[in-house]
Amino acid sequence: MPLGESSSPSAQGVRSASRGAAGSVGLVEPPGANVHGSLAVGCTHCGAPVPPVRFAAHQAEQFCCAGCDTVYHVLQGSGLSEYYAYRERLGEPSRPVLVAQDTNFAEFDAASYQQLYCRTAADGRCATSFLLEGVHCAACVWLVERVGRLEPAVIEARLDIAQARVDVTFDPTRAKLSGVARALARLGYTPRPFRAREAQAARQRELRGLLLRMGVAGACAGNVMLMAFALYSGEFGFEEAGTMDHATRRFFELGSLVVSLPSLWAGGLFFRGAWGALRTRSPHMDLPIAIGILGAFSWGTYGALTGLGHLYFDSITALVFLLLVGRYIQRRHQMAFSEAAELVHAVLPSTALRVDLDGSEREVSRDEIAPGIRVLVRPGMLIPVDGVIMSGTSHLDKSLLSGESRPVPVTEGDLVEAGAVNQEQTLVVEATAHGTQARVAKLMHEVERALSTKTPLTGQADRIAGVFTLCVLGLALLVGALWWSRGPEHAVEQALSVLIVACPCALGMATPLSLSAAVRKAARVRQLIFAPEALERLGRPCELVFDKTGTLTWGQLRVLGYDGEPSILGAVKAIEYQARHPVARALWDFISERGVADSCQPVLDVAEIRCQGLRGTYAGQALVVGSEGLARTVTEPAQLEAFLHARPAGASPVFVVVDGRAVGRFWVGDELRADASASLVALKAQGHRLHLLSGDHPDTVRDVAHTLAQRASDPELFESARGGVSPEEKLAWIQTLAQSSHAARPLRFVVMVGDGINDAGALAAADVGVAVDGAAEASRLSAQVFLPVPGVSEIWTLTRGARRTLLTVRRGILFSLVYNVLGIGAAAWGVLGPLGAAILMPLSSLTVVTNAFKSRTFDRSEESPS
Amino acid sequence: MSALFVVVPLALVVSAAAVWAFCWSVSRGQMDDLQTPALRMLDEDAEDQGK
Repeated sequence: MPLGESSSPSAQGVRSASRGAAGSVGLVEPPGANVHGSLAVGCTHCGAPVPPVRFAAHQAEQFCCAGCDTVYHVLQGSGLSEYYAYRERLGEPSRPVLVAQDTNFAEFDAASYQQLYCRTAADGRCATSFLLEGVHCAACVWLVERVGRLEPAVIEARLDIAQARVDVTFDPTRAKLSGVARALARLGYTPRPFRAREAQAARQRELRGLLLRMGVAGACAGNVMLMAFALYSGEFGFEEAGTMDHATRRFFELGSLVVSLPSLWAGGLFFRGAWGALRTRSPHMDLPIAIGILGAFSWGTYGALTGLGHLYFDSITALVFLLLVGRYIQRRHQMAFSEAAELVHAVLPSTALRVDLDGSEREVSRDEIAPGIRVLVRPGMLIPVDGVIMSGTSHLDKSLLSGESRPVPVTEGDLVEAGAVNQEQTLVVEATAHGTQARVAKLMHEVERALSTKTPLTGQADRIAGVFTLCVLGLALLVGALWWSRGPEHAVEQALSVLIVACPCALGMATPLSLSAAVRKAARVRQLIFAPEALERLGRPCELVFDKTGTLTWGQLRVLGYDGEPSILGAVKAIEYQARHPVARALWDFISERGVADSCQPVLDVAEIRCQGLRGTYAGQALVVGSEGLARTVTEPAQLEAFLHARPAGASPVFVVVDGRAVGRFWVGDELRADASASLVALKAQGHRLHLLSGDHPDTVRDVAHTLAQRASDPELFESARGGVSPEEKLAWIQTLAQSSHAARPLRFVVMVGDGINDAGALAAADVGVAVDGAAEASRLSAQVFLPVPGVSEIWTLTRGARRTLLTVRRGILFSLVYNVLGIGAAAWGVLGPLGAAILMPLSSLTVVTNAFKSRTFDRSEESPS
Repeated sequence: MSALFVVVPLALVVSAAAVWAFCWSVSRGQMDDLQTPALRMLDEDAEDQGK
């Protein structure tokens, strides 16, 4: 049962598909590797260290996991082996394969799925899109777009690497959609349904619209500027050329009026924004922009038509163009949010296997399941409905659903919840609720509500802009009034100079540019930020709320240590080989990784004692491997006591008893991530307040909090540590915390860090949700930040980057305010003419742009806390 | 200076054509993904070398 290498206790089936990157935890950096070390051999496919158990002597190729092995041979067999040479030429780093190779993607073939997500063209071709996990470089583009060599039915595959989305066109008469998905998975990229089509289309329309306006505004600005150059040089009259004659001047004046007209259309969205600001009586940056543009344009039109006064067209068009650039960059980095009512699909399978009384099975949509209907749940599958077990005994993995780190044993008559993963044996479950009424489905609706009612807190620039707007408008009126004595024309001209030079162009660009530059830099160090505003919040001291299972710990059972006779390990390995319990797998993996060979004597009469352990006969002796309870029945408690010291946090013992004599003890538990305590200390030093909020048993949570505090030698590391919290309570707890911390001065934002489905509500309700590696899809969709690299120090890197970004933003705002104050002063004094304003404005924008792109925000080269 | 009265409108017509081409390409979705084509270009190159 060498499933251990793919690290998740159930590498097959839906769990891996739903948990995806969870499988990667062990692959990127096998948790066991820190403990037991590994050979210094690199994987032929990905270069990661090869664990001893997979080391194959006398072979040129070595693989770190079954995934890499399969992909390597698939590539060799299909003439795609150039991939390696190509990757090397590009100098791209490689990543281990994150795929469950044996998933069959049958859910893609359901008619309901195809109706929603596939488009069939007139010529019979079918087009669909998948999100791919693990695409990161040019070599991935090369490989993914050649998927047709593996699955000839694929006519075309185009990858969009920024969104990790592949658009596939295939011939449905030659292959099913699941075949296409399997081909992608065999290349090492897990396809996931692309479920945000509507939101995606809306985002695309908006971006295209902005780009169009930007292009038009840019062309206008360039041409008007050329004419303005001619006019300015004519005005000053270079000696040898003489001054411009009247006809030419009029030609350029009227010409620039005509050419700047399209700019008004392009800047139309600022007028709409300003109108909205007026209606809601909330001063907004669009307001002075719109007044500036309209005022300057009408004054310029008057000047152009009468031939008197200044034109301002060059300033207006440049202003519109630069503002649109800022807007476009800002929008480009906001990812399309998942559509409401889609989250449930991310949590539960859309189909279930219905069994009728005559024993026949057929696949039905989950929505069709009514109470009383029985469904079949094979090992590795998600339980699709809330119900009662009618037959079968198994263990359920609820770690993503509830945060419980230990598998829960279930048998006939037990109630089960939709969303748990069946681990061992096939179960028959009779639904007690309608397929759409499962508890987890209701929870997802709560999450959606929390997401949709989340009020965006105003960014810093917007708040400054409100005050700024009022000041500028007041000042322009004042300046106009002061110059009134020199004649109304002069007064209007000076007031307009103030408005134009004050147009907070740089102010408007400072925030979006700095944020989007930071988002790009973050993506380069594999930190994915879907909502740039999250950085503004993460940059301040926050209330950091951590989930335990899968966030501070690895989220899987592992052996944390062994004490006792090494000679018995071979026998333990042999007996555990016969069981499918997750603890058995953890023991087997642990022993195999130490390179212990199978014992030469077989273990006979192996019997599993439910939830307790295993018993068998080894070399004529009675061998028992099991929990403390089981061990107590076969040996003296005093013998066991000797082994019960130095218990790691949250671990429980598994004893090895031979003929009534305790000979060894394993600690089995969900191991704390190695960098957890150091990172938490560093986070606390940054000024954050830490909380622990877990669905796991309160004792385990207390244990973990205690251990972390001890390692950090800070008894008050956590402000609070709670266990046994249901997903609904988590959401409510976060909301209460958010309310109190928003009311407090200084204001603190609430940041939730989690991975499970049970965290999805909390992630959505928090000001910033951070999903960590191995996060369930629903959590990733409800979080604004996703950190696919394992490690608690990632959060430290994130907050440090956010802090630096915030500094950059503030610096940019300061620059532009200084420019504006100087410019406004000069304009109010009458020193600064339209030409000066036209030069000063782009100059200030240039400073802001340089500031945004030059600052080092996200950087991994520096040392991390651990 | 009279040449300007012909040349400048002509230049504007040319730039209008460029703007039209830009709008056309945007609405055809050519600007939707600005990252992958750059990588894909590398890849065609690599293939040619291989042959």
